[in-house]
Amino acid sequence: MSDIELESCVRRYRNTVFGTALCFVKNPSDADDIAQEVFIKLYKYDGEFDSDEHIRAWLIRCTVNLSKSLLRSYWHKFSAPLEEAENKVYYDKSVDADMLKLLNKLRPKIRSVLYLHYYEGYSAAEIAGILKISESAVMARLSRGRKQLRTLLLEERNESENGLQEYI
Amino acid sequence: MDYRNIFESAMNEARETAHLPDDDRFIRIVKERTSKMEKKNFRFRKSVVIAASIAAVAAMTVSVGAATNWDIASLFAGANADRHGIPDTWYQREFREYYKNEYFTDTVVSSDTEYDILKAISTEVDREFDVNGHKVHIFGYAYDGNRLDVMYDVICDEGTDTLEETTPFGSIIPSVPDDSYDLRSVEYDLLTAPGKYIAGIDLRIPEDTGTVRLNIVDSADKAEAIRKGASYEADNYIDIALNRDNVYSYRSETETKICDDFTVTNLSITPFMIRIEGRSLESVRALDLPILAVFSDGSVIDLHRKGSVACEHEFYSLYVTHGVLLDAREITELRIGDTVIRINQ
Repeated sequence: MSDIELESCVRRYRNTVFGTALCFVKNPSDADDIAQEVFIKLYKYDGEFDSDEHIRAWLIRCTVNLSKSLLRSYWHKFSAPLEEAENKVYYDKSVDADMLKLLNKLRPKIRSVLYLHYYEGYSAAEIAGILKISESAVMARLSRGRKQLRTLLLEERNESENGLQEYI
Repeated sequence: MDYRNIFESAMNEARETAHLPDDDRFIRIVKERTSKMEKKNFRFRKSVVIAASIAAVAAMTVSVGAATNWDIASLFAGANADRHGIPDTWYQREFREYYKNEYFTDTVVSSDTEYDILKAISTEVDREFDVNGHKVHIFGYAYDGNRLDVMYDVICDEGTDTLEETTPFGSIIPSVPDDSYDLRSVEYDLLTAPGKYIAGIDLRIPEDTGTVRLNIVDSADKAEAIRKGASYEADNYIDIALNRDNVYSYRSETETKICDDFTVTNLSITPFMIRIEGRSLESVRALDLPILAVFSDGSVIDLHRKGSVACEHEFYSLYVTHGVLLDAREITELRIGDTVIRINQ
């Protein structure tokens, strides 16, 4: 792939790749590392793509594979990011990460399907093709994810209201 | 509820908290890292060739024996003997009476035919592996370019009725490692009690790969280490030669309502098994329906539910085996209850 093509793809799809990786690894720094790996693979890739959609699907598939590899790696399982240990190096505590925390309570396979459907706009059949799982499994995960997210939001709301009452 | 907004907020939060490089910096990093990797690859290309040769020699040393427990080889020869004509009441009369008019739809559904050439098949693997104290005994495999079906027994460790929810014990690695292959790592989810099973693994193996290796490991970490180049443990793998046998497997997406509470959404038939995926509201009764495979000469085989029923919420994957190896091209119908799904037309 030429330099110009790479640059174009980064500007168009970096967000998609980052978001997909974030569904699996939770940590934004890890997600960005994965995004770099994915675009390195794209840069080195010799094959041809039929369309923009083909590139996008290829990038997502690649991101899923690399994310799963990272999750399984010994290093990932038994290490914690420095910023978590020091609690302040990279994370700007002034930003309230409520939604991120909430989504991180879902299992990666549920979160990723919700993300691809509701954020990236893929249909259940397309997600099945990308993740190489059956369409019925996609629909089941969507259904389960919606339910879990509703419950989490409800709990969150109740906690906030209780907290407010205590404060008052 | 606006799910898109939830993700949008989360993404914004992630970007703001992590101080990510901007696109220009990101592109520079990607280019620099690629350049470094290419230099490194050039230096180590020679040693990769040597490693690949060693893997090929190791593949030749794998011993295979005759299948013993299921005796698939002998069943293969006698497959036709198991066929019989369609009886007037081809399942139990009581069963039919019970369900008649209440659940059965009496429909005939045509299904688009899609075949894959079977690229690998063996019924003579007879290998036993120790997985966290449990015994996994593998008898055979079939691969059609999309899916690898592995036939196995699980004998649980003493004092255990079922395995852990997720017991990773398989990892597919090509005989010639190359990170450009988009191979999925494989972990079986064994939601099973002891018994005989056929499990499917979704994967795509590159066309020019002659042999792949099914590694049996007892943890995901070991699988990952092997994938990254760690040496194979002695006798922890099966080599699968892609020999492109002229046998077919069949796949189809469908939307077939079997009865009021069971709709089939996907069908696949390999020589080892029939996998029926569907939605079911009241699963137990629907999945108890008798299932028949009907052949082009009008004969039938009763299918027995030896495989597992994996369910996720209201979705079910039902694995049925037939005890014989079948050529999917010969199957013209699948009958689930009173519903006839035409396959080969």
